[in-house]
Amino acid sequence: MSTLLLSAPHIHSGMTVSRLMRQVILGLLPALVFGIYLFGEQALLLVVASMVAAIISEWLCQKCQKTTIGRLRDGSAIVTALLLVMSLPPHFPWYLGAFGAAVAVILGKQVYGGLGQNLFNPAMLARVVLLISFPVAMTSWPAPEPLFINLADAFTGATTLGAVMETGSSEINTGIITMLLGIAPGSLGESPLLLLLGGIWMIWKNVIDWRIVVSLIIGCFIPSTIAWLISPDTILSPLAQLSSGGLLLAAFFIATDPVTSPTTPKGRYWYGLGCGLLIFLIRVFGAYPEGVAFAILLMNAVSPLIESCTRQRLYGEIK
Amino acid sequence: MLFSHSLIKGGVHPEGRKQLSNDNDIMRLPAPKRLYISLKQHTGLPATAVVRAGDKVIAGQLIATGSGSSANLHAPQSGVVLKIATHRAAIPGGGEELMIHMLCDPERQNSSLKVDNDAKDRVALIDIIEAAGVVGMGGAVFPAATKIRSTLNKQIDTLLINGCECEPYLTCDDKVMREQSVEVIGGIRYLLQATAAPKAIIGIEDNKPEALQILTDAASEDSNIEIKSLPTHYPMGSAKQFIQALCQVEVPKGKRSTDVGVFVQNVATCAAIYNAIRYGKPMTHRVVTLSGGALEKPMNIEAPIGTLISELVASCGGLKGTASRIVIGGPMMGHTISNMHTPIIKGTSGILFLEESELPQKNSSPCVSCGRCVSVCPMGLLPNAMAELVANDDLEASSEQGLNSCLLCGSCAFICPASLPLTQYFTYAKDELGRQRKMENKAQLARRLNQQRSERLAKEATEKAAQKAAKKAQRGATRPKRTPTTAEQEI
Repeated sequence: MSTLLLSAPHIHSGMTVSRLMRQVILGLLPALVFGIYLFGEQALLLVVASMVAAIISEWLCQKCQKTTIGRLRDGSAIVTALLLVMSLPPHFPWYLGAFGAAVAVILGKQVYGGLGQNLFNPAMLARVVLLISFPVAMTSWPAPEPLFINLADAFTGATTLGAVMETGSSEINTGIITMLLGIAPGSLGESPLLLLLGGIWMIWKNVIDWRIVVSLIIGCFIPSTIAWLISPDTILSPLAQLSSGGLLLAAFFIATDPVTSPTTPKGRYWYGLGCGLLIFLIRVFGAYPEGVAFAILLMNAVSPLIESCTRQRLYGEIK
Repeated sequence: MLFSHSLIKGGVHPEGRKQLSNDNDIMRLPAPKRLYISLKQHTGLPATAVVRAGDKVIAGQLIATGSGSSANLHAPQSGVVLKIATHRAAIPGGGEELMIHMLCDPERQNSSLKVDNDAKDRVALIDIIEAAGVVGMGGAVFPAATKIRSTLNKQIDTLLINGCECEPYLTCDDKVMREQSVEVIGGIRYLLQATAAPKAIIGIEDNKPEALQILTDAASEDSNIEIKSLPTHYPMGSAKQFIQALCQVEVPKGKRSTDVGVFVQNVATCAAIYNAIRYGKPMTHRVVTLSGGALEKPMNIEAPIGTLISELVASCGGLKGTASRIVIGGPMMGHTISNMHTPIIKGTSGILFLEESELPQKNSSPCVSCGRCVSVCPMGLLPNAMAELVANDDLEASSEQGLNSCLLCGSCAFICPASLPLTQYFTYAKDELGRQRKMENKAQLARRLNQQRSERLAKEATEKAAQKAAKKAQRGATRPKRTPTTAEQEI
């Protein structure tokens, strides 16, 4: 009989951080696999190189810095690497992808002290570093070449959002099915339907909080509907806004990062709304066609403030 | 669950594991040979023994008297008092307490309280409850009479009877409701009289359909007793959450439930009150749940207060394997013990013998601020932030965050993916703050006493000086000043 006197509770829900990470990876898988299928072995190489680089960087940091928080086997490095590659152009050079993953892990997470300590989302931080350092590679969008299906030459070398920004016209030449499946030039993991599938599964499994997802989508949908009604020729339709770019990836997988989002339920609404609104503003008024990474980083910066402003009411507290 | 409206804020849904022990009827323990009746059955002052070593006592005889915060103790069996000495107790952290050691007689002789079981007067009813040593059996172990007496000058609108038993594993209240429904309902009728409340509501979690049905039948003729089914949701049975779920009111911070016109009592306490008033039977026994994966035959046992846990285990067929942890109470809020040769007290609702596979993993990982603790906190606290403050020893800041509101219900630690020992932090911080407050009071008292002493000394000194001066003056007036002798001058 053990004589250790341990504190209550003596039962546990069984949820662990590494299980959460595994579930996020599972949620990402459909869109990731589909992305690799669409863009071929170059995309696969990018995914593998980034993951390996992230794992090595994590391992190195933990070796060098004994006080760092977190373990290699908690899986957070893999999640970071996957989130980064999902947001990269599919034919992005693999060595730059590996560099980005190392930046994400080392500068995005480990310098702050390890798991749970970082202020900014590591994957988005690395994406911005890559975007600013390698602008050409970061904006060359290959046309998808899926196996077994011969696509017509309907695809230009620009993303939906990029085309709108260049031409100033909101006309899109893709059908609704291809748009929803994400068979269009764009980042590696942008298939709206499959992201939705993985994301809803994660909400059902209680891995992520629906509050951030719903409020982010609303935060982008409402202003884009208003703008589209005012100027339908130059502004992309709300549905196209939602299904293009990294919006759904951000809503389900990036904004819901527990470390960099507020913990209070009310704070999560505000955080999601802010992300959605900023994505819309950057897309429409910013210099970049896509604003997810910047929007997330900006909201990360104010997340602690949101959290302290949205404290819950205590039971029995008189206001 | 995702979008559903809940009666209480936060909370968790641990696996019930009640089927382990709720199949069999309550077993009546054959009289144990020895009993160790602790004088300290609950927080507050211990009771004062009124028997001495060598005294012969009969079952039901008063053996220790309580005072306000403690309740009377009665001999559960006839026998001889061996001694009054310390013995290992099943208290958090282990340790010994003063207990009445009794050697029991196999023959049963009963003594009952002399009660007027037609008493109608509130004060008379409360006096009987006090004499019988009835305490709240839901966990707080507060003397029932003291609690009821506090309603004498307050208007109670609703009597809430707590049959939630939201802790996993525990089924003693469930079994009491199913097997002693007459006593439970009878006790509620007496309580309605004693508190002058117009109606009573019994709240029972919906994972106990039999108890719900049996009590509904038992109370079918009482128009003022209502039975309500509540969703199974931990910590529904916590008084504050229970009130919130049934009355949709919150007890304001720093106030008591009687301040919002409700009075909460546990179902088993009601049965004890009935036995006290109707039959003059003092509270000498209780139903204890023995459960857990390591136990051969989990069941409920009605045992005399003071029975050793080892004897209870033996009557459950012993252990089938090694119990990795022995828990007193429920798994969410109970405490561990390391020794089975300790007696049960009036508040022992359950003893769990948990196997390794039932326990949480011991290693915690870093907090990823997932916020699950925040969303499950029934009190609306920020457990992650509070725990961080406690870890940095900033107890003042954590108490500003509302540490005192913490129920120690364990919901946050139960859900935490990082397995952080959140409840342990809060238990420590609460104890430490209490200790600091005590020290502060002590220091203040010492300062005050010291100041009073120096004032007194100063006063005495001035008085003395004044007296001296007065004496001198008197002497000077009566006698001429003595002139030094020549011898003194030479020196």
